[in-house]
Amino acid sequence: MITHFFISFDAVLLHLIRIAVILFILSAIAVPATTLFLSWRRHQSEFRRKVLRLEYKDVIFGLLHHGDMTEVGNIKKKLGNIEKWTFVEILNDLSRYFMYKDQEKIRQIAAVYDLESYMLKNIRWGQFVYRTRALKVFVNIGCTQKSYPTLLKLSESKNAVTRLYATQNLILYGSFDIKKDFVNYKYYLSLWEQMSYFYLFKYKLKEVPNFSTFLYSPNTSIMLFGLRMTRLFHQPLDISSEYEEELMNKNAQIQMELCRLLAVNNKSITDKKALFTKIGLYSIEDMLSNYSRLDYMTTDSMLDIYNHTDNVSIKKHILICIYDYVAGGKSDIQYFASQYENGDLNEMCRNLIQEKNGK
Amino acid sequence: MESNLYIGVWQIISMLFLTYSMAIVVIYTGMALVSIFHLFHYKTRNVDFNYDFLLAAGEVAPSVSVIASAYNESATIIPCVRALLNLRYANFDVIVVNDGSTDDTLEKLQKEFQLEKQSDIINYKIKTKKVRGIYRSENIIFRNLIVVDKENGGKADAMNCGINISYKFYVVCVDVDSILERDSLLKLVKAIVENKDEHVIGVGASVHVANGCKFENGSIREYAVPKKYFVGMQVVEYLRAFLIGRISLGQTKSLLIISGALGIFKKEAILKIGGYLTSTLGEDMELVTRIQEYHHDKKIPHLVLYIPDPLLWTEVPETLQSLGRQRTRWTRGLIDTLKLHKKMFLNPKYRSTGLLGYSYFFLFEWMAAIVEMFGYICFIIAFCLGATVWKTFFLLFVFMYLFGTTFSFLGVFINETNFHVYNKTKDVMRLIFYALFEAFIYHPCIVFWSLKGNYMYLRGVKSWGEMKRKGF
Repeated sequence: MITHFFISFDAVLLHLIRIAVILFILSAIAVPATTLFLSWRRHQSEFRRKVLRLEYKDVIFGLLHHGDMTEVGNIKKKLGNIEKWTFVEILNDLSRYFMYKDQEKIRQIAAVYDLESYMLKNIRWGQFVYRTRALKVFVNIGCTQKSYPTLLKLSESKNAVTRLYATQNLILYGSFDIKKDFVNYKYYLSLWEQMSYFYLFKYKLKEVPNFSTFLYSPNTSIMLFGLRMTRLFHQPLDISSEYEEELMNKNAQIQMELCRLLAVNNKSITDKKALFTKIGLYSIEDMLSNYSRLDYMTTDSMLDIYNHTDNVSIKKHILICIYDYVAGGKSDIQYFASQYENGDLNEMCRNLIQEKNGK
Repeated sequence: MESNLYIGVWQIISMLFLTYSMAIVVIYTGMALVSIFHLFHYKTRNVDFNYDFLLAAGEVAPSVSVIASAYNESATIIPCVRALLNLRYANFDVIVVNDGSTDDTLEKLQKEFQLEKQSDIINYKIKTKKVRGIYRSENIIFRNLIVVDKENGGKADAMNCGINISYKFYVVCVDVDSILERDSLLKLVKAIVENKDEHVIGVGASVHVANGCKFENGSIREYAVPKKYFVGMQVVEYLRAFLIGRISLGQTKSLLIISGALGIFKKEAILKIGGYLTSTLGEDMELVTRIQEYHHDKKIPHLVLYIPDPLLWTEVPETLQSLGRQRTRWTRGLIDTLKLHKKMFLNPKYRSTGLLGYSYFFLFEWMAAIVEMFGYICFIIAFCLGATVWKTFFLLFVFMYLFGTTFSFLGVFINETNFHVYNKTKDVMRLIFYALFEAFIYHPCIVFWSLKGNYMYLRGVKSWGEMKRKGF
């Protein structure tokens, strides 16, 4: 019975394997053939684009170099019909290095070929690669009112990349009010998006807005964004001590960012006990090592934190930081160690010195 | 009656082999599909990506320590450390741990980078061998270089020492004798900041073979496929392993290994589990497996990611002897890790890590060579007894050969269409040629070394083995 089953099973199996062998013979031919074909085609297109880029660059650079933008219309006469993506790529690369005033020149060149309509066509086509590329290009070469409805729709997209670039365009050329609209922003803003906005604010905006309103947003990622931007743009932290305490108790990330911001603003933390409630031990140690390396940190400000914790490991780490990084910290520790009192600070300093001396 | 029983047993054995082979075909086909879909998604998402903002926003960018251990690396240490210092990132330092080298590695570093001994205290968060000294440069150009001199304790111990010294939030563990792409830190960090920051605890990336390439000042000037058979075979193997295997494991959240040659980890996650295990040979795999196990045990949300970009170029063994040593070591490391974390096997508590990742490594990485060996034995027995059905045998042989070769072709295809690593069509042709002949000499050797690794593990051999490097 079993033997009979295996014999009939073998026959079916043999047929299946035959079919599989034929399929795999075909794939074993098709895969390398396609690989070689694509490799060859890539080389061909790279070569062609290289030639075109050189030709377009000659004309564009010539115009930008001489600076007479009244002759911008001559580009069309010189180049005739162009391969638009290659042309756009050159403008896009160039505009990365152009500040807002010079950006106008790029816009004028783009207008000659009505690149905005071409980009809009790519965006509306819906294919992710082309849509994202076009949105990124818009950030650099600019757009007008006719693109706003599309951008507004995309700024509500579920896809974070699409949303980011659409919003960036609206900030630069549209109606997005940074102060108001970010406060009520309903999406999570990842660190990557925050960094991308920072780049935009720093290099593309004429005036950097005040970020203090962000700290009152119900969206915690916007709060974080606000704390980070306030620190990076060296804006003063203008919040009450009650609200500072409230923020301190939100979550570990907000707590850490707030501590950093306070350090940069040369302010001490009002509720120091809170410092040790949310952040993990290792993160605190890293954070303390970083703070102690800041130029304006003193032994006193480090000891201020020391006195607000009961954790011996953190206390020891603070003393190490003072010894290694704070200006004059080494002699301060030696002074504390030489004071033969019963306080734990003196005892710990003596142990530290002994450790330093390899005992 | 008795002969019927033998035939029945024989048939059952054949069925088991067949089931195993079919499982391999199904799993690997699935992995290839997952990888291709992910790569398409990854490529579209990162089209024309400009990393300038990560550099510009350096103060917000996560801080990173690049840790490299060096043991008797006198020949290559200077260009390699220079390459590490030249990485494009705004907030990082380089910690080179001289693991008790007996040559002049430390002296060369001291001279080249004008190092001065410092009097730092080390907070031994992870227990390591004694640190003899910490050196920093007097020259401001090398201000982000820290050299640690310690007693010899092995790579894992050196890495733990570097982690103790680091005061950054993330650590990148690299092999000092490899070449990192200049944008590697940017790409690794991007993978972290794209997600909700706190959840990503580790990111790995593709490692490619540097043999055959041309170098200049610690960076690659020209990418090329090596001409030597055994080295070229390793290129195909690496492409297949990284561009199909690792991507699919990463996508199914079941990654148990991030190559020891390059990986970024949240330092806190490593400290929580006590750092690298020094008593194992596969410390990289063991670390990731333990991190996954710990986070699942404590129910902490976490992500271990893999990005397909080729970020690191490493020198692979050129001689059969050193290749053999490397492979037996890998097998011993694999068995060690699987044994240490056996409770994860098919355990739903560990989700896809236990159900998919562990099972994959157990069934298809460790057991594959053993099953293959039994297959050969059974074939010889059948041949001696005259029980071989030649038609079926040839058909199955052709089928498995075609499957393996197509799978290798896919690795080459993915590499060519997504990353354009090799600029000449000649190189692509060479890779296809290697893939065509992998099954004949290279694969049996790999199976042999894997079996030897099993035997050495049973005998308790713990030696690392030497690999002579040509250097860059």
